Amino acid sequence: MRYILTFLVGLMITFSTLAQTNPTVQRLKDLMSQFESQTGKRILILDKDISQLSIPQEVNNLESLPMILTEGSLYSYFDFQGKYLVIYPASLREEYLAKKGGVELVEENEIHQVKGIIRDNELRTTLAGAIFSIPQLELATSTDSKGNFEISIPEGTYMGYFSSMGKETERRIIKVYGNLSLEITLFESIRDLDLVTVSDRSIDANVMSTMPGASRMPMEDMKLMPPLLGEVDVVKSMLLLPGVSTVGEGASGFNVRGGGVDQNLILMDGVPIFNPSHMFGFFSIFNQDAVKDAELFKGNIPAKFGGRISSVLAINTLGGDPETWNFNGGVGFLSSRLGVHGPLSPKTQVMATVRAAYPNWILGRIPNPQLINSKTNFQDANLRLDHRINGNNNLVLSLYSSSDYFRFGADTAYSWQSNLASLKWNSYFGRNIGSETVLAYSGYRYSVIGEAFPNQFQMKSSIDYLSIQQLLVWEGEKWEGFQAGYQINHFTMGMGDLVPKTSEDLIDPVKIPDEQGVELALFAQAPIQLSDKLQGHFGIRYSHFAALGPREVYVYAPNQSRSTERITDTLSYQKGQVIEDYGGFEPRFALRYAFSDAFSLKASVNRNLQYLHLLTNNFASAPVDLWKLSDHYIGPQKAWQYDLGVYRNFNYNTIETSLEFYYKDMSSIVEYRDGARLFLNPNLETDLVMGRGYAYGTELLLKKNKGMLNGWISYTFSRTFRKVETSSDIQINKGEYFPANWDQPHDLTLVSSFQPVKRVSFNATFNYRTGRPITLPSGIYDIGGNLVIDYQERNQARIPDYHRLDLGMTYHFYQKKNSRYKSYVTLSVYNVYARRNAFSWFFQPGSDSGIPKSYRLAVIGTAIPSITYNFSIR
Amino acid sequence: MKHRSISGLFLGLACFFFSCVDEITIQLKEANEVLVVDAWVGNEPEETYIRVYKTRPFVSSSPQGKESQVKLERIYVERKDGKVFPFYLHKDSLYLSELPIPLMEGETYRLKFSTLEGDTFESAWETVPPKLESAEITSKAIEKTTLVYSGPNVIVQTRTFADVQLQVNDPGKVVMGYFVETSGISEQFTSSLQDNCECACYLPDPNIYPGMNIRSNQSFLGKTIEYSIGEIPLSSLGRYYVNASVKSLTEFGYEYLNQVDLQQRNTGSIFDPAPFRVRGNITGESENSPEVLGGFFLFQKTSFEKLLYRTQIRTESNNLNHHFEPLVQVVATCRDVFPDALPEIPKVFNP
Repeated sequence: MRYILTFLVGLMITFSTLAQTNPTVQRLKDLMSQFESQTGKRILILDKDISQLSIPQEVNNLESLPMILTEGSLYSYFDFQGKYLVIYPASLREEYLAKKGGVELVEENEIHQVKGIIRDNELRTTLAGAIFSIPQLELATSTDSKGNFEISIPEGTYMGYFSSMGKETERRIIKVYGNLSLEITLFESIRDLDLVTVSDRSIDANVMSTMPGASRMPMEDMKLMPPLLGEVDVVKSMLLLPGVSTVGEGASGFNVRGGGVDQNLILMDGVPIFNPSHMFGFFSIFNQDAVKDAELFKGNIPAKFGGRISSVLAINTLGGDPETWNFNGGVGFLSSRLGVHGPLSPKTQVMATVRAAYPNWILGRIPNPQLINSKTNFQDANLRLDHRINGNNNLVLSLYSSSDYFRFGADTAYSWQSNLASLKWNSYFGRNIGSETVLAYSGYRYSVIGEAFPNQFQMKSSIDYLSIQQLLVWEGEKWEGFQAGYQINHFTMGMGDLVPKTSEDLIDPVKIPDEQGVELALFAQAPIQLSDKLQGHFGIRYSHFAALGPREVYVYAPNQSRSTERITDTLSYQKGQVIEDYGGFEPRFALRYAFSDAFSLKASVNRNLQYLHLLTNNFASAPVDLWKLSDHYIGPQKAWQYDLGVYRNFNYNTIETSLEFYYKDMSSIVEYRDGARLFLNPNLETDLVMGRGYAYGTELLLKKNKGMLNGWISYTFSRTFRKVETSSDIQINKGEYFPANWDQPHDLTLVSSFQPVKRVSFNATFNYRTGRPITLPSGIYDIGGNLVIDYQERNQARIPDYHRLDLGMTYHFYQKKNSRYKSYVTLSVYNVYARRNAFSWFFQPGSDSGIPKSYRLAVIGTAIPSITYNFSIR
Repeated sequence: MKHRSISGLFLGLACFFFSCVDEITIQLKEANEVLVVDAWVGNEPEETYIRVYKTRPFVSSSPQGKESQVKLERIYVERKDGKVFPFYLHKDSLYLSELPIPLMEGETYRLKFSTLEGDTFESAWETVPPKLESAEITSKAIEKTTLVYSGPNVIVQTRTFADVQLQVNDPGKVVMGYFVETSGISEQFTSSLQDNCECACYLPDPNIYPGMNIRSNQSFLGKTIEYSIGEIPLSSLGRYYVNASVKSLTEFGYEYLNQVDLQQRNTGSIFDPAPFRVRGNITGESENSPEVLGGFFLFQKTSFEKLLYRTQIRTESNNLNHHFEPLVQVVATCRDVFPDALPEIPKVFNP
């Protein structure tokens, strides 16, 4: 550890020395930063123009900075939306006024519409919040969330400026003699002074948006966090947000506001993902080179989403570069990745990435017989094709495939594969109706493999999901943003298939019949704009689910718990015949009252239904846990969520704070009986019970999003309880409420990023959370000489609290101005102080004496350093 | 130095990939005293008994304390035809049958008892499983990777073992379980400079199978199968005596012991079930009766034995890389290095 720290400090000093900034430029940067802090306005200026300005040693009245900078120079400035100040050559304006004066005498200039889209060359996507300005007219506008802008400009020839955060400002001569459509691509700036500091969202979005409990995280922000094993990870980034937690390292998925991991809808380009983890959550399945951004809805869920009762995590992939070919990738200690994107034709772009992990070479060198026989690896690949059919129609084909294999020791292996495909057709019907139609497929195959003769087997399960959905958006002036659509999902669930590997194996094949179901949903969502201050939206979704045959359904004796001894009849259902159906309305209602641009109150109420359930009775969810549809005995999971939040920004939106309260009433959830057998159980319903639950909590966020040092502190207090009221022989916790496996009342997260110079950034995260519930022994006894442990009621104790510190550093290597090669290296240390955070406690008779013993399992018991070299060529 | 650093790095990564397990001591605030019944009725009178007692507190790394007794008014096993076999208190919490129980395959029995407090309990009806009549012990040499500790260094070596197997001819009558317990006696040689050395010692192995060897016949009903019942190292010269006792169990017996086995193998990982109370087949007659742990088990036991010749097993597997431990030199008796050796040469080793 000492060597690592010495190395890091050494690098820090070296890089700091290398990356010395011009003192005049640094002074200007400081002044501009102070100006912004004091006035809330950001100064935009071209890099080449800096030397022409009068940069003072110090300024007494900061508000006069723009005047001081331009005084006596050939430059002028204008104010844009009260948020930006554009400094530009005064001659442009003077020429224009001179011309205008002449023309005005003759006739009034005709006004034309100029619209366009600003794209990002680095991320191959559109840039939201980018600025298009024409200094001659002292006119500017910013792009919307899709990178589009539209502005009315009088006829003439102008110099247009296109700017965005961290990008080279582009200047173009624009001849406006009719309606005009522009398409601009901005390239990344590598200069020390990041003059244009425009966020890709509205500065006050957290206050003014009407969606409580929604978070959007661009990949650029995720890259500021310390990577685990060199990989920027979408899921790990989400875990740093308030209200999002996990039961520990190695567990698949995440928990949101007291919900189980199956209660989160995870979408990649609109396709649901049933397991977002590689290698048990050490990596997520999202390749950083393929991801544009991630949006998490944990409060009010838009009506277009459904099927889960806790949250929606929507991952958007990147489109290919429309102009040039690019290559990028990274080489790490355990995994590497490679990506390529570019234009196939003027109308078609491609983006492709591959990634593979190769830890086996390490395992083979560890002096442990079990590890020598162990193997683990994964691979994944993304492919995306964007094709513009015409100005109103475009197609996006997105494909993803991944494969995982894990074997510990020689006997048992686990494997799982995800295959996703979506075809999205975006179109405009007329001027005001936009349509997004998505055909989606998601396949998940998972198996447990026995590799010891004569018990070689493969126990397979699967999910096949097919969907068609269409979203129509009204973009007219009145009711702008009204949405409506439909969604039809079809599920085929492979419930378990045990196959011997050879005829000599002592395994009887077992086949549990597949389950099938279809879900139909209709939805609509309308914006509410009662005034500028009071806005929101109201959505309604109706979903209906039908469990379909062919299937045989056992009938059990009434008014008693289900058991195989109590089967009284068997009902046979033909293919396509409805076994059972459920449905219900899912209202979504949210309101925001803005007291000012920096202070608002938001509230929402929503209901969700879930017809698909993950069955797990393990310490945490595993990738090979069984998914099941609702059926004759297992109804849908249902939840109402109530959310209230206060949002306040300070210091001109550079400091964001929020305080949210939520209460979730889960009137129907699925639980398992003690000792449940969930695999290869033809009478699965005998081991499952319906229960109810509730969750409540408070989430506090304090975020600084500007300056050399930025980051956030979040604290969550939350509780979540469950209860099963059923017959006495299958009672859990005597029929009383018990804490869910993921009930962790206190969760504190600190995220910070420090960027002293452009090329180097340091980052750190710290997380503390209460230990999760566990079931402890209450006594011991022996049966036939075999020690048996008797346990207390479920989840009545807790393992020790969890805390962890991660540190990271990113260094961008020097790049010549016109160089096509760019690279950076990330260094990180996960779990810096090597705390052995308990994942679980378990209890066994000692192998030597039969004395009962207690053990702690720490999934990560040491500090994990990593280094990854990343590159891009364009 | 470099080698040590690399090893440390790999071990660190091992800790990352495959977790770290530490023994801990937990002070439990509460301990329930729950009634336990450990009732075994089978074709072996000396292994037919009932124990009724209460659970003891779980104390980490501490030997089990004395079990607290439960005073009973009456306890007996009842055959479906109404015949009753009463049990008497023999010692502490141990009850033995007053009469021999002539178990016959297919007969149905249950356990009933009542406490001095007036609570009455009974088990589910259990049917006597068939006896395993035909089985044979076999062995074959295998190679396994093992860790060899040499001072502070750990070396990974491939060693050879005899995989002891039981060839079972399942009667194919009903679905039932087999619970196999394998013990053995290892003949260990030493060397000495003295002529009258007692250089061969016989070391008892109470169990050569790690954990509980419990298996259902559902996948091989009526078939002949062979499965592992233990392993013995082939690195010494002496013979090895194997004794396998096979108990046929009812479906309940199999399910119960299987859950106990699952509990004992639990390592707290994401693939292991969260802990839970193992439920038996005994319930109170009234709704307010206290819960009873344990169960009523019917069994038929058969024993099989074989003397294995390590030299012969090695000869039959010349293709494997056999490794021999050098003989330990003693002064006059091998008991100097094998203090737990049996006092006499077991008969099975006599010519």
